Amino acid sequence: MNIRYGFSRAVRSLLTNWVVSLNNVLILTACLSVLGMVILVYANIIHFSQIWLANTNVSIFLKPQISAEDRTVLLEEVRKHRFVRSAVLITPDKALEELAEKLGAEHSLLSGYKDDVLPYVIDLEVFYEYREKVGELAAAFSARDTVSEVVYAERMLDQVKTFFRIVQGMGWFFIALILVSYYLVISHATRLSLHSRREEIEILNLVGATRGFIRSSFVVEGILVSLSGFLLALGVIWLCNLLLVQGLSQDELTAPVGAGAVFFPLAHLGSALGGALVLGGFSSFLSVNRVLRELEP
Amino acid sequence: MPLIEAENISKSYLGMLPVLENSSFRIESGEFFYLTGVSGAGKTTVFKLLMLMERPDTGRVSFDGQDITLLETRNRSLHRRRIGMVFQDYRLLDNETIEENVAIPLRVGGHRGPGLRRQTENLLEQVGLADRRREKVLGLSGGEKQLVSIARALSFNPGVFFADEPTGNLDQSMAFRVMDLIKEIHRKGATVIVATHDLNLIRTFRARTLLIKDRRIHEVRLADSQPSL
Repeated sequence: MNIRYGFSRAVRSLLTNWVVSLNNVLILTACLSVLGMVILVYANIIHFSQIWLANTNVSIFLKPQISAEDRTVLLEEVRKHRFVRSAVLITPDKALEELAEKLGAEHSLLSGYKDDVLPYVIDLEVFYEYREKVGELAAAFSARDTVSEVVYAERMLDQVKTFFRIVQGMGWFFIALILVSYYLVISHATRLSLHSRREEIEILNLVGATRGFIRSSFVVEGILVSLSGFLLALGVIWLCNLLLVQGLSQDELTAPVGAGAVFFPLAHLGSALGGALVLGGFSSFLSVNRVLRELEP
Repeated sequence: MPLIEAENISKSYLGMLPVLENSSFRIESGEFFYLTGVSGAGKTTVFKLLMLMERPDTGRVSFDGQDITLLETRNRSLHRRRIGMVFQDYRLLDNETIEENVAIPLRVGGHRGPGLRRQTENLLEQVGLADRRREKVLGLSGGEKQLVSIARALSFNPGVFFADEPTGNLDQSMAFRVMDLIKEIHRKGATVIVATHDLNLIRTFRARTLLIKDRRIHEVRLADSQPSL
């Protein structure tokens, strides 16, 4: 395969049929932009969920009649548990104080309440790696006589897990759909190029060019179209991401999301670029092979 | 052993009457042959069979004793490099320059850089177009296009040269110039087959003649008085 010849012919073909080439590049850009943005949104959902899950808090509500000694023993036991990063005992008066603080100007609503209306609570934080075993931890302490209830974001955690499963399933389907479209666009581009260069292929065939030689310029053309589409799509995604982050940062409520949003790591971008180029070249390869087979007796 | 030998070849195209039926011929190395017959008789089909652009329905075609119909894809490409061929419709890339067209087979053969340029120039000198090498083929006359086509056919310095109606679209003076070039190629040792239905050409540049008539190939001697095929 003559790469230099393939490259120069591919560039010339792209420039000669620039309207068709531009059209194909823009279609690929659209495909890849949509795919990239979906992946980016998904990556950010995972990112923020992981932050949230890393701070999973569990509250162990103690029975009112529990003695001070039992409270201390239980607190020590909780602290020593391997899933637990930290644990603190919240006394009823401290809880009331915190509640009043949260109510701010409305704290007068609590006047008349005595601190013994609230139970003792052990608030604990679970290690990130054990975040999915919170249920196990809750079950272990719920069984204690001194514990009235263990509360944690169980339902929310399950919802997050279900959401991930659905998004992942849909994501794979979506990615497959985009990849098929990608293949079809490149094949279409190659077929148009083959059509406009059919005479050249016939001449090459007549003068004894091998299949590899004839294929080279078309494969390079597919790779170049793919590369252009990828770079343009990357630009579009980067710009959209920038505008979105700026928009989120302007609102106090969404500012932390804006500040914490992630973009594609370089290694992932490199892999995606490699994948796009391979797919571009491979799609062209298959299309041109079909035509070459037709030319042979 | 003949250089080219066709034995009992038949060829038909889908949905059409056979073009050739049980036809045989032999061509020795270094010979000059005409292949003649009326339009549609099957002259181009013979070239296509010899170039492996088509396969015979029956029979065998051999080059240097080797049955070429059995060659695999890669060897088919290598087989075509042994043959220089020109066509009535030139088969040139109109939007490319003269030198780009002539360089195509050389690039296929792996030449590049100064060597490629030098060889292209030599080939264009042989046909008298060296000083016009940068011109696009699109603006050339039919005769000039045929000269470019001949220069391209000579790229691999082929031992076998096929010309399919090389003077079909040319005026007499250009036709004679093209035929002089083809004769020169023959004098240098190539085996040449020229397909033509122009009896005047055959009478002017005399050589052995194969006639395709009634789907068969016969060797004939055309009389000076014969008005048509």
